[in-house]
Formats: sequence, structure tokens, C-alpha cells
Amino acid sequence: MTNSLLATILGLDWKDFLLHLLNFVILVAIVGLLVYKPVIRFIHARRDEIESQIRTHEEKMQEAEETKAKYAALIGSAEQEIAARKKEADAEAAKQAEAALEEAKTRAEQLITQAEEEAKREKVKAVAAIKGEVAEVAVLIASGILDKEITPEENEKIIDDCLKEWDENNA
Amino acid sequence: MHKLPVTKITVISATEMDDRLRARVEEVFGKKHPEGIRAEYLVDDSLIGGLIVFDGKTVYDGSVKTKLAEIKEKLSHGND
Amino acid sequence: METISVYGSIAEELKKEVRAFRFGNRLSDAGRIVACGDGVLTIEGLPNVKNGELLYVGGDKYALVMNLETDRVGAILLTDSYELGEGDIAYSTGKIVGVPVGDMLLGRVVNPLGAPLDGGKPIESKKYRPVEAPAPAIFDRANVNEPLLTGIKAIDSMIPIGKGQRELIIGDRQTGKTAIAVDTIINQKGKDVICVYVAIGQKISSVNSVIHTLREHDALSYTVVVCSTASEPAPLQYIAPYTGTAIAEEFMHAGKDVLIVYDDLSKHAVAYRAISLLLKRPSGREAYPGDIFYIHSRLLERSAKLSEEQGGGSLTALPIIETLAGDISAYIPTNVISITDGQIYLESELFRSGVRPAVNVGLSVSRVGGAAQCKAMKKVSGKVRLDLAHYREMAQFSQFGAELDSSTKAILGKGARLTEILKQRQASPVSMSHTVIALTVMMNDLFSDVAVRDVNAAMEGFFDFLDANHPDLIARIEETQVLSDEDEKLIREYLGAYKGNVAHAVDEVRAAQHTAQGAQK
Repeated sequence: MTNSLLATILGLDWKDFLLHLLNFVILVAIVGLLVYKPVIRFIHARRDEIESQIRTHEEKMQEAEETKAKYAALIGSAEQEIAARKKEADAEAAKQAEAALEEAKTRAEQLITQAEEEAKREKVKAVAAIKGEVAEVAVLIASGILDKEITPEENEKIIDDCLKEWDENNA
Repeated sequence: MHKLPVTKITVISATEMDDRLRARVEEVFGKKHPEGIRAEYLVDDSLIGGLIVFDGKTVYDGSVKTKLAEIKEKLSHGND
Repeated sequence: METISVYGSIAEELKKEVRAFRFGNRLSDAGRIVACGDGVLTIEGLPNVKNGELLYVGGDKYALVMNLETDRVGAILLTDSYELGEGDIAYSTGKIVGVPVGDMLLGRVVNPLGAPLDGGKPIESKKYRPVEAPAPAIFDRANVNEPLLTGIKAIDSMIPIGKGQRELIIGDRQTGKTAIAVDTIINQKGKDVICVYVAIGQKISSVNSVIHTLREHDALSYTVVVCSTASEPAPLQYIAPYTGTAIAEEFMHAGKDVLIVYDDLSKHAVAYRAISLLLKRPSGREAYPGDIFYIHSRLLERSAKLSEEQGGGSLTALPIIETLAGDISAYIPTNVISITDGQIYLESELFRSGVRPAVNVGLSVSRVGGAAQCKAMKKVSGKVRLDLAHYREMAQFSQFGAELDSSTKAILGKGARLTEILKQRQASPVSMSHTVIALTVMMNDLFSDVAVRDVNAAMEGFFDFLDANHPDLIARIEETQVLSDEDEKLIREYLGAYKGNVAHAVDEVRAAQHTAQGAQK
């Protein structure tokens, strides 16, 4: 009885109603499969994407902070190093200046020694030269003196001595 | 009989030599040359004293001039 | 003060020496001059004199004993003297002629007795060597195996000279004989070779010119010049080469390499002939005495390469002989040719036609040859002589103006260019590597596109190119003394590049000229 009531109320045949219901169910299923799921998937994906972007952003901010801190530290240490190097260079320069001074002193000493030795050598040469000249002068004087001073008796003696020697030299 | 010719000797002295000295010279050199000698006497006062005798083969140099030259030579190069 | 004490000490020393002096009466062997003239003394006496002994005459002059007869001695004066006369005494010294030797002679000009001629201090040496000395014995010698580079392309390639060899330079007057010797001396710079130049009977102006050239090229510092010019008495001219050899021997026995040039032995023979005739020795062919061969053979035999045990030194001799009218079959030339280990023959014909050095490659020879060449030089110079001989044969045909086939033209072209590249300016030594490269280029006919008269200029340009861009090639050849096949290929390559550059430069010049002409209009 109900069936026919329902059917007449709705103006539908209870068979048609079932058919429409079935139709509806199939439609819902299809739509659900084709539309609902992808849409939900899409929305989830979008949500995930946004979340990951937010995360990346936070990470990058973190990195930036760290880098800034690192550079600050580096600059600090670089300044320290520069100061240290400068001190080193100053010390080095001072050392070199002293070494140059030492070298100059040694050179001066060497030159003085060389000059002294040179002077000594020159003296020896001069002495030898003088000796030769003195010898020459002495002989000149001697011959001059002898020229005037040999008496005939002395001359005779010289000749006699020579002859004696030559006489004895031969058997 | 062959005889060697006499040897000519040259005697150079600083001053004239007297007869005694000449005899002495001829005696000494006569002994060296049995074939006989003939002496020629020259004077050269640069010798200063003493004499030089040359018998054609050997020079006998006893002059003061040469002795002085030797001294000078020895003194100049004595330390070489 | 100090000066007085110095004198005092000297006086003391002298007094000591005088007291210690023993007086002795000197006895010396002597003789009496019985004849004196033309520099020859005839002396009686001198009972124990030896041949070649030095005599002391006239207070400061020396004479050399050359003739010993039963009752008289013939001696030649070593200094001109007009003061000696009959009756003067000639003293025996017991010594033979000797010269001071040692490093202090380097850079000096001396006479045959060791007295300086360059106005410098007297030569003071602790060591004297007799001018006559025996030649090194057979077992003291080693083979000649090291090259002595003359820096002259024609010689280093085809007539190579080795250290210890005797190579004669022979030719007519004014053919460049002295120039070859002087160029060789100049090329020894930096090669640790000591040089001795002996001038015998030369004009003073010629010797002056040689010394000037040596000084200009900084060669005097390792050279000794022994000089006995035409105005010196014949006895001094006679001794000069022996003096030079004694000086050189001192260095040789110290292990050094020495080069000696005798310029020239013809005048030496003439001086000896004069002495012999004055000593009344019998004369032979061309009035030369019988021992004219011996004076040269005993001189040249003293040049040798010593063995390692003897120090490994060497004495290379370059004697010079002047021929008359190109006659190398005359008496003295044939003598010396038979003594030496080869000759470099210079022709006046070649000289006049512009081939300088005027070396006649056909008649010149080096009996040491390839043993004295480095591998690189041997490789490139093997066929040079042959090619030049071919060229000379063919050149006679070319005079007919006849039609020639291409192969003959090629031979003529190559030969003409070879001859051209072997020409060289005086006093411009060419290094071994340059000679090797030049001959590589020419023997492979790589300059066939260059006009004959431009060959030398083109080669100069190529060398400049190599120096600028590829100095390692030249350095490599000098170092290793070998021309590898790769290096040969490199030479071809670089030559191609150089020619390209030249062509390019020529085009540029032409273009520039063109624009200049265009601008003028």
C-alpha cells in the first residue's frame, strides 16, 4: 500500500524512483571518485606545499643568521690577524736593520784588516827595493873609494894572491 | 919534429905591472903551456885592481871590478 | 822611529852578507874572436863548448854556437852589433838558449829571447825552458779525437782540425792565410784554449795589424805573441818558432790545450838559409842547406796530443807557407806538406772571384778527418765535398749558355748556393750549431727558392728568427753535439715558418708602398 502511496505522491512509479535512486548513487560514486578525491588530494598537496615553504623560509632565515654570525666572527679574527702580522713585520724589520748594521760593521772591519795587510806588504816590498838600492850605492861607493885608495903595494898583493891561486890550481 | 906554436896570452891590469910581476905571470903561465908563451900586456884602469889573464882558452879573472860586481849581484838577489 | 830602524836592519843584513862573501878568482872558458862580420863570429879557443850553447860577448850580447870545427867555432850573434871586433873575448856560459815560460806571458808580445816588445814590464818567471826540446815520445801520445773549431764553415765542415794535429795553411801571397789563423785564434774565446802566434820575418805593420785585431776581439788575454820581424837579425828569426813552441809546451805539459800559429815558415827557411850560407855550410837545392827539412820536422813534431798519464794536454800547430804562383810542388812546400797532417790550400783565383775564404776544397785535406768532428757535423758534411765537386764539373758546361736539363740546373743551383753559404767575412767566427744548421738547410736544398746572392742574408735572417723563437734548438745542438732526426725535422718546420714570415713581411711592405703611392696621387 505504501509503495503505491509513495509512488503516487511523488508522481513517480516506484520503479522509476528506484531507478532514480540508483542513478543518484551511481552519480555520487562517480563524482566522488572523479572529483572529490582529486580535489581533496589537491587541497592536501597545497597545504603540504605551503607548510614546506614556511619551513624552508624558516630554515633560510636560520642560515642567514648563522652566516651573519660567522662573518662577524671572521672579521673579528681577521682584524686580530692583521694586528698580529703587523707586529711580526715590525719585529722583522727591526731584525733586518740590525743584521744590516752588523754586516756593515763586519765589512768595515774586513776593510781595515785588508788595508793593514796591504800596508804590511807594501812595507816589505819597499824594504826589499831599498835594500837593492843600498847595495848598489854601497858598491858604487866602494868602487869609488877603492879606485882612489888601492895603493900599489895592495895591488901587488892582490896580483900575487891571484897568481898563487892559479899556480896551485894546475898540477 | 913538430912543435906546437907558442901560446899568446893577454894580460890586462889596472896599472902598469913592473918587471917582477911580469916575470911572475910568465912563470905561472909558462908552466901551464909547455910549448912556450908570448905575453901581451894591456892596461885598463876600470879594473880598479888585480888582473885578468886570457890564454886563448880560459879567462883567469882576478880583477877588483869583477869582485865588486859579484858582491852587488849577491846582495841584490841574495834573498831570492 | 820606524824608518830609521828599517834602514838599520838593512845595513846589518848587508854587512853580514859582505863578511860572509868568499873571494874567489873566477875561471871561465872563453875564446878569442878571429873573424867577425854579418852577424857571424868565428872564434878560436872555447875548449869545452857544446853545440847550441850560448856565448856571452861584448859585455851584454849573446851569440849562439852553430858550427864546431877542429880549431874554431862558428857562432851567430843574437843581437845586431857593430861594436865587436877581432880580438874580443867570447865567454862560454854553459847554457843553451832558453825562454821564460808561464802564465805571465799571456797577453804579452815578446821577442824570441823573451824580452818584452809591448813596452810593458820585463817578463819575470821562475821557470825557463830551453827552446830546443825533444818531441813527446810515442807512448806519451794519444789519438787526436777532439775538434779544434776554427769558426770557418768551409774548414770545420770539410777539412776539420783536431787538437794535437798539424794542419798547414798554404797559398800565394794575399790569399788570406794569416786571416784564417787569426780567425781561428779569435774563435777560441771562451773555449779554454791558449794561443801562441809566432811572427817570423813579417812586416812590423802586419804584426801590428794582427795584434790590433786580436785586441779588438778580446783575444789577446789568452794569446802570447812571439815576434821577430823582418828587421831583426836572421838568427832571431830562426829561433822564433822554437821559442813559441817552448812557451806552448809549458802549457801543454800542464794539461792545457794550446794552439800555435807559425806565420810563416817560408821566411823561417829563408832566415836559416842566410845563416847557413854565412857559416859557409854547403848549400843544396835552391841554395838551402842540407838540414832544411830537419829544422821544420823537429819543430812540428813537438805538436801532439798527450796521453792521460801525461796530463792530456795538446798542442795544435797551424804552420803557414807562402807559395809562388801556386806552386805547391816547390822545395819547401813539399817538405812541410809531408810533415803536416793535412793542408788548407788557398787559391788566388778563388780569392779574386770573391770566394773568401779562398779554400780549394778539392786539394785541401785533413788526414785526421772525421775523428775530429762531432757527430752533428759529420752527419751534415758528409756529402758537401762531393756535391761541390759535381758542381765544379757541371759549372764548366753552364758557361756554354747551352740548354740544360732540370737535373743539371738543380745541381748547379745547389752548388752555387753551397759555395755562397761557405763564404764568410773576416773575423766573424761561426759556431758549430750555426754551421750544422746552415749545411742542413743547404744540403736538403731548402733554399732553392732563394736567389744565390741572397743566400747569406737569408740565412742570417733565419738565425735571428731561431734565436728569437726557438733558442732551445741551437742550445740543444751545441750541448749534445748531435743532430737528431727530430731536430732535423724541426729545422725544416721552422724554416717553413720563417719563410712564411718573410713572405708576409714582403707583402706588408708591398702593401705599404702601394698605399704610399696611392696617397701621393
